[in-house]
Amino acid sequence: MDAIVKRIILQVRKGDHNAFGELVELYKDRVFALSYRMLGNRQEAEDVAQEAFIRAYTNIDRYQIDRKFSTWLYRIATNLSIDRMRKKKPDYYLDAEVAGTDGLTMYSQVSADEQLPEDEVVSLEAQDGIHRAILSLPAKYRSAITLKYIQELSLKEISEILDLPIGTVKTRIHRGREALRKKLQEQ
Amino acid sequence: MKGGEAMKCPAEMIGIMHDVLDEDATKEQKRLLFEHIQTCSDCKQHYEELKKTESFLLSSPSMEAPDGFTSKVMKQLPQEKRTVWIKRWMKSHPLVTAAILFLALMTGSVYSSWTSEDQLSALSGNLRFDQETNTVIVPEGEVIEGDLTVKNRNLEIEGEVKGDVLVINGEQYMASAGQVTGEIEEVDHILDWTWYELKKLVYNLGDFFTNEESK
Ligand SMILES: [Zn+2]
Repeated sequence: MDAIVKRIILQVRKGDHNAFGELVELYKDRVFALSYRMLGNRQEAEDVAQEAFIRAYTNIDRYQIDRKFSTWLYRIATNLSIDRMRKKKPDYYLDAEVAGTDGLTMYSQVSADEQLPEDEVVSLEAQDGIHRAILSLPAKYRSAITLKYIQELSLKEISEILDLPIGTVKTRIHRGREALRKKLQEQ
Repeated sequence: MKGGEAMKCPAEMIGIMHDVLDEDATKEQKRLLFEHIQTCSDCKQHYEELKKTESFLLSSPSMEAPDGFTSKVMKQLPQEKRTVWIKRWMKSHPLVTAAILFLALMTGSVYSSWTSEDQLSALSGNLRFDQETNTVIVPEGEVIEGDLTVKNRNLEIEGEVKGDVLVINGEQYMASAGQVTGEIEEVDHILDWTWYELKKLVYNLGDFFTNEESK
């Protein structure tokens, strides 16, 4: 797999569009799933996933060929998704540090008041409790949880994608999972 | 784990639960947790809920990108690099290519660019130059980001070039530790050089044609 991807990338670097099409085919489902779980809206997820591939294409010379391509691609997609989340609604209060169990209790009170946009309420996918619960998480926990469970990546890969120490990634997964547990109990 | 219960629960118990879920706990921690939840119903419930949460997370359905995703991406890409386009064009138009070659030779511009001064180009990186052997050296451990062109000099690669290497009228030597990500091309004869210049010429023509097509 890696060898095939590297060969394709060398062709892309020479400007071969068709080679890039092969890369899109290989990764489109995973990149779309990532942005969808982060944003909770198919149209926005598709926009972000497409932009992620276009950025990958225009910045392909900056990709270091000895690193894993998926890590680099997911990093672009994750950052774009987080940017989009921030533009979508000012959830600065959700981004406040969630420290310990007390902080989590406070957080779940805040997020219980938060109304989801209408299109998210009616979409079938959003009926799925866990998906809704993920969407109620602040960006930093949502990204860590999505990368771990939707993309099934190792802590090391997640730390490279988010550019954070492994210890911080663990903490975010623990707190995110704790918040999800509470959410699911409330539902 | 609230109120009076907190008294008998070790403070780190919830942290251990998460480490166990992440397969990141020591044997001792696991033993501590499983012994504790035998006697503490609150922690047992907490742990069960976390495991349930995790199984929900793992069972979320896999997703597929919407139909037409790839073609939508392809339509938004910046124009294909012309060198790729030209290689294709020259293959499918051999006669026109030959005619242009003839014209190019007649004008003599190719010859003058062949004899023009020594040249060296690289986007970044430190190169060494050995006067005696007339050799440009990419030192060991050095990484050149991008293409490297050397003209009327030899080239020795001990480090790494992340791009194509073009050596014009010189010799190229690769040390065992040397690495080149792209293609290595040596141009030693005026005919090769003509070919190389020709590609540049058609490149400009290609520009003309693609502009016409897009109207
Ligand atoms: Zn307990």
